[in-house]
Amino acid sequence: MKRPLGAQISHMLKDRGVDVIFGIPGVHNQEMYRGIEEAGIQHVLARHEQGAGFMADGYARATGKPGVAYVITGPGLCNIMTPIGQAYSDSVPMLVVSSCLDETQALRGQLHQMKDQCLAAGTVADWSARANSAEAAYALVERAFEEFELLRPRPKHIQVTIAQLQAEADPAPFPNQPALRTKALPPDVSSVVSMLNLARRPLFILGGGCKSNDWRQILTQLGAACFTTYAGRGLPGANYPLDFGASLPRPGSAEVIASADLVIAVGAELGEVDLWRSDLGHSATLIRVDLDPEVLSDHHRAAIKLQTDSESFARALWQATENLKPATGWLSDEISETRARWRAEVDAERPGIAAVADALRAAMPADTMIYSDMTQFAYVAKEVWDMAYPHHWHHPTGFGTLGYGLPAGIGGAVARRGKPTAVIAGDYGFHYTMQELGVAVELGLSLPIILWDNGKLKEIEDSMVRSQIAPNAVVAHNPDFCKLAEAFGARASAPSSLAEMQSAVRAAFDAPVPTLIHVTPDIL
Amino acid sequence: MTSIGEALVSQLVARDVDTVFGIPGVHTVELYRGLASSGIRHVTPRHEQGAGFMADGYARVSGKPGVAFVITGPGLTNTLTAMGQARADSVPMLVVSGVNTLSSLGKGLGHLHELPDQRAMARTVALWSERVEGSDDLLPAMDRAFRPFQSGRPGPTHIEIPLDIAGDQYVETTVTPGYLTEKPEDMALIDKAVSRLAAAKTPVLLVGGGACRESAAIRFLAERLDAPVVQTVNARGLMYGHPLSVPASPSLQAVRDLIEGSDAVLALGTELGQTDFDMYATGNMASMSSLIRVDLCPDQMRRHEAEVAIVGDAGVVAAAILEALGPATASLNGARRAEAARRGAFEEIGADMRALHDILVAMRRAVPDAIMVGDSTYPIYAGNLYYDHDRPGGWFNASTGFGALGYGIPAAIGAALAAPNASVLCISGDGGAQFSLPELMTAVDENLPITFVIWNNHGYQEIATSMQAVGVTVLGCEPTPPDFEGVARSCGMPFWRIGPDAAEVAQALTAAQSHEGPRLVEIRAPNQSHSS
Repeated sequence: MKRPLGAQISHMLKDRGVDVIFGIPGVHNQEMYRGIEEAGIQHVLARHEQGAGFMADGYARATGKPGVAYVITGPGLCNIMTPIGQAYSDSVPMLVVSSCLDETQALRGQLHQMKDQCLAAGTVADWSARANSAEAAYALVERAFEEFELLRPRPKHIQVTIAQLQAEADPAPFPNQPALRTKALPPDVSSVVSMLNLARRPLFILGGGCKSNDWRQILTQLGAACFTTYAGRGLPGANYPLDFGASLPRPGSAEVIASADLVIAVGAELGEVDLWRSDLGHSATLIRVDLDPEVLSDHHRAAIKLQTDSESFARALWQATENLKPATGWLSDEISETRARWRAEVDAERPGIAAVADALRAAMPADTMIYSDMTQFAYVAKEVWDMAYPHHWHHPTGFGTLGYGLPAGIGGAVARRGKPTAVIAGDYGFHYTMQELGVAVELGLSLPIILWDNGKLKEIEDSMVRSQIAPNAVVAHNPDFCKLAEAFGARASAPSSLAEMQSAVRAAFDAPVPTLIHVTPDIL
Repeated sequence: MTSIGEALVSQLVARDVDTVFGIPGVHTVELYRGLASSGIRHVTPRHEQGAGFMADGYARVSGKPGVAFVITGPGLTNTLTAMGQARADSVPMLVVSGVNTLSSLGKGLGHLHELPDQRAMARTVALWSERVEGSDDLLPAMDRAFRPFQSGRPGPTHIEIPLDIAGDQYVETTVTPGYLTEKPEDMALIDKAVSRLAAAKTPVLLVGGGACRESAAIRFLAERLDAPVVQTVNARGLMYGHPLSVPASPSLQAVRDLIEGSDAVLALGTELGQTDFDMYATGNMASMSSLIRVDLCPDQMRRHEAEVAIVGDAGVVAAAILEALGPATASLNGARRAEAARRGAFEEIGADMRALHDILVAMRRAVPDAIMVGDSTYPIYAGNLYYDHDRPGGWFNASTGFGALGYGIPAAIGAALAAPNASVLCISGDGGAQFSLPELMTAVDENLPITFVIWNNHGYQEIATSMQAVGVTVLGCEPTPPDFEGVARSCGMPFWRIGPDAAEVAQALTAAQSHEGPRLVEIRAPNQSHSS
């Protein structure tokens, strides 16, 4: 049936598996809102478009499905650019649909008008395009979903003119049955297998691009050791004896990598935020497996490059090495010693946090999905908190934006009703997006929010001290966070011991609303 | 040794910058090296969007550029909305950001805070964006950044300094900053304008934000011409209580009638933009039979047909016209025409808007000579339609132009810092307030005497009404507001909760004024979208 195009777009998204849309309505995009409930999609109303964007990100990371956000022209789009930038750097599938003005050259000074909205989004998104017709809008949505499936997932922006959103249009064509894609053909791993045949100390580096295959089985079959990036944590499961953990940024990791006689990096960008140094440190052959040619061509000088998705690679590798004898060059005792040493280093750098992290971990079910903000707590936890499951800890890694944790956690909790989700944020980062607490209350999410409050931008203060700058502008007055949470209708707790913190966390998973758990370094 | 970051701060001092709004990060520590000893006041907001809006509010009140320091990547993307608003409203603003190391740019190495092309992004909202790649670049970049603040139409500019450059030694260059000499106004055009105006029987002045600092010049000229003065949103307060003042939107029919009945319209510093002149989107604006335009921006002149178009500063040109006109000869019933327009406009806005207008008047009486900073909310919409403010430049909000929600709270903070002796009222809706609620703590930090008034109608009522009007089932318009009393208490602010009643408002605002530091007043307003 004919409907305004704005409504048809929501129906089209529903047909492609979209169940939740995050956004804020305005006069410009109201036609898009016409179709949301009609199509049977849940709408989650954020308090700021930045919140909507991070929620869509959190939802996408939890489900692997694209996160969708609806925003208005101009400020709505500008407000969501930070989340788009974050999704770009962390390869998160996200679709942002905005309204735009019909005429921008002859008419100036229109409400929400900006210099060039499409171009602005294009500087942070994978691509940004304007639809002047229903056909164009449908083609762009189709393209976005095809690319989410086939390419490195990244955010896309589609803007549709107000006049077109209002105009009656035929429905979008119904999606084809999943087509057989060449991607499904197994990649040729013979060269990898022949190198593995010779290797005594093969080392895998697993990144966020690895899907949830059973990497532990593969690593065990090969006798391979591994590192994970921040986004790849949990891929080998808990307590894999040859796991060096998410310790790539440790200076000592370069030595370990240099001692490997074959290094295979899968779905890992090996960027600055993965290594905190420019070179990996390998002396042996490096094999890279990635969807993105840009990654394959980088300065790490891979000797063998496979452009494929990690799942197909893992499957092919598993089948091709079933009869291979596992390598014997790695000793689990040495690895656990190394890890104990690194843990001591972490604890010396930022004292005390590791103990709190241990207590927190013990109080959470193993399948808890955690969303962290930019906080020293998360920097420490990354290295000392081994994950039992992959893709269960999400962090704004590359772009590095404050204010990610809470809204992304809300997106995750919406996707995971009935399963445990938690947020860990610092006091400054929490401040960035705290108003989204109202959303979590509205939705009745049983969300523990651990607020690590050191009363300042401690990481920046440390950096100023290192640069011999008298620390300034790093201490801000904090509100009474517990009262503030209660003003939003959330629960709050300020535990004074680790045991109290643990019971607060356990209670929070059963509470009908989110619970702010205010933790300061004094807890130790 | 002086680093380039420190030299940039010295340059700001030399250019009379006394306040910087910013959130430091590892990428901008070098900018902070010199800051503490520079004498510049640093204000730390809770989000870079707050930094941008504070710089905007500061600039509108002080007339000086608002300056923000932000980190690479998200720091800059967070500031974009504020830059977009500043561009739409011609507010002078300089944003200084970090950027990743020079050698890494554009390579997609996955560095922290990395963007493919940060300047390309900034350019989509800023007038101009430049990178300082070494000592030699600093002075020219600063000159260019400040040029739009000194001549031409102001707006936001952006400078970025790479992570590996900011700490390099600054080598003083011998470049002496070149200053532009102001081009004298074209006297032939002014003479033409004068002869049109001198012959006019029913002249009218349209005054916009470009003239909001020219109270005296505009008043003398209006009195000499005996011309009613229609003020756009950003010009309100110019002619408070004056018989020639028409503090009403030129979108209203009564005001359009006044303009259409005029045989010579003089437009000073106004874009003639849609959010002032055609906010009901009828597709046209009052027809102007003989338009004389004065504007700083040459681009603007091409967009509307005008009989005489003078590129220049509104105050300077108004003074030149006044001088050339000589003494008045006859009364042209200016006051009577203005009164008719005022009366018609006030009638036209309807009873609901008139009630909101009365609340604004109660605020003005309770707190005279205040700076009233607004967000997009009903009382502000009402005031934008009709309200005469008692302080030139003392009425501004972001419901025009870019129309960014969340502007009010941080912009009021910037305003209070720019005018420490003024009373500042901030009027936000519950929806808009939630966009930038964390910035309340910045007001607490700085102990600013701002009264934050929150018009709580429980949601985005303007949007809900608009959805109903086109038959869309209302969805996503009811963000449950927090308990504002609890919010105030958690921030240590005194709190009042009142009804939408002029007398109650006056009482609460008077009481609030006696408190040092920020305070919060919640007005519980009916949510009309519920009833239908």
